[in-house]
Amino acid sequence: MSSQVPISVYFLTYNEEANIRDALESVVWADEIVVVDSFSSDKTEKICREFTDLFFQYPFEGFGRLRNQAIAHAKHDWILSVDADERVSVELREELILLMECAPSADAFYVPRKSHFLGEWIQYGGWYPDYRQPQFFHRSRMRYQEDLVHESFEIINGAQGKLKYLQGHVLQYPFRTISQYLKKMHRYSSLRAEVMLNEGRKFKTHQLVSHPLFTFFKMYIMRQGFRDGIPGLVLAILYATYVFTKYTKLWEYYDQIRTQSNFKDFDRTA
Amino acid sequence: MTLSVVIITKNEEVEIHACLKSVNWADEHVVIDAESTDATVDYVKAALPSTYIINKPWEGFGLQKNFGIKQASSDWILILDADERVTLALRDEIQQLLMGRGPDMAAYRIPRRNFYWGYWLRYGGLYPDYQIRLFRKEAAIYNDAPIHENLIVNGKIGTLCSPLDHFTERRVNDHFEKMDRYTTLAAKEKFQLGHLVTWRHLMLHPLITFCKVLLIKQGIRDGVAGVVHSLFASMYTFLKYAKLWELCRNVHDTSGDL
Repeated sequence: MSSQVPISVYFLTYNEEANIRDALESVVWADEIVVVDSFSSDKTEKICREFTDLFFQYPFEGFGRLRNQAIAHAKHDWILSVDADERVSVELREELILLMECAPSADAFYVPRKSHFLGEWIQYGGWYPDYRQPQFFHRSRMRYQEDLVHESFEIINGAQGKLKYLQGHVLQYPFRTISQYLKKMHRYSSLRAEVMLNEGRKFKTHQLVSHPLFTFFKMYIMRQGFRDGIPGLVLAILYATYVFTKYTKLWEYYDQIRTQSNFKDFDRTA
Repeated sequence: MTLSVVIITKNEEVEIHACLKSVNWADEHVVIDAESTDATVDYVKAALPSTYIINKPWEGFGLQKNFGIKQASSDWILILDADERVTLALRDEIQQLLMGRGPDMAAYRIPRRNFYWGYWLRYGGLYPDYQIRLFRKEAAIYNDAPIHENLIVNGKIGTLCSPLDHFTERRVNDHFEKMDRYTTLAAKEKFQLGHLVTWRHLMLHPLITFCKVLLIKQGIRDGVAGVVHSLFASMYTFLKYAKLWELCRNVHDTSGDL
């Protein structure tokens, strides 16, 4: 359709049936939607195909690689990156339309994100504006680095070599429920504890209390999380809980190493 | 007097073998298995081939246990969970008790040692953690509350002094997963009762729980494991109320904001 805005929007997905429909609906005004999926086992593909035929599957070998693969399938020069848990707001859409009418003035643009938790936009506690890599860019002037762990990008052949910031927001819904947060926290804390163990970090008992307390203080007081009401409070405590979880797992690792021999069943002695 | 051990199971392949071995001296063993999909039944047969195994779809703790008691043929019943072990001292005490014409009580409470992550937590309110597990067959029955079933005893209850061992949580990891499930259930229960949440529940109550377990109940005397346990307890309180708030909120506001 020629009336559509000539940009390509791409998504990366993996079992996103709960999120992806709203995300796709927020970008139907774009001329092209590309989805790169890492072999979802849920209804992700079916939902995506209602919106686009450009649905491709690649094994997961790091986010940077998937992102570059998605861009390779796009036909327009200007690319918009949206995650499955993100939605493009009306103001951002209007801003992009305007931008495309008079040629963008930079190579890549950062987009501020309004992240939501428990139904509220979390404005404080360090959650805003929460820029990630430039979400709107010219395909020949930015490239993702295919590093397995860190998601980074580089500006290439910059005609203008410029990075700018957009005003319109992406709305982000990182955790739908507290349970979802806990599951993520559980995974991440195990990974982090393992990294800390490998780095040879020492464990001290006071860390179980002092580090979570500090995290809470930083988020709730210093970064003014208290201004976000109950969701801000819950979030600050959940972050503290994450830190506690991490150190508990570190303690357990050391404990297992130390007591490997008697970690087996206890003797049935009184 | 004879003794039957009754154990209800569902996917307990990790625990059941050692549990049965700890009571191999009893006269009869009854396992009521709720359609385990793992090797529970094989482990039962391997541990004690004479065990009486009955498959029965899950109907709640109380009903499963009552059914098991009904199948037992001895005068006395010892009811166990798969993650519990009878210590040698407890064995001796029970055998002594049932010798001759038997005890004059209807039931006995047994102290229980709770092990978390390999540590016996003696403080923090976790000991003696009395459990009524030994009773005359016709003198007791469980009520059918879905989660916390209670044993209703008709007669006098005595107290034993040797402990039962309970391997509550083996890994911190499992504990976190369990806590997520349990706090969701607890929040739903409170929600149905119409409880409301304020910042006090989210901030003060967890703090109070922490101080209570660590200091008043002296969890700190258990060392690092005691501190971890206190923090888990306060996390439980917090998550219960946070999820309750979440439930209340979803009812009042169902609008998206796009």
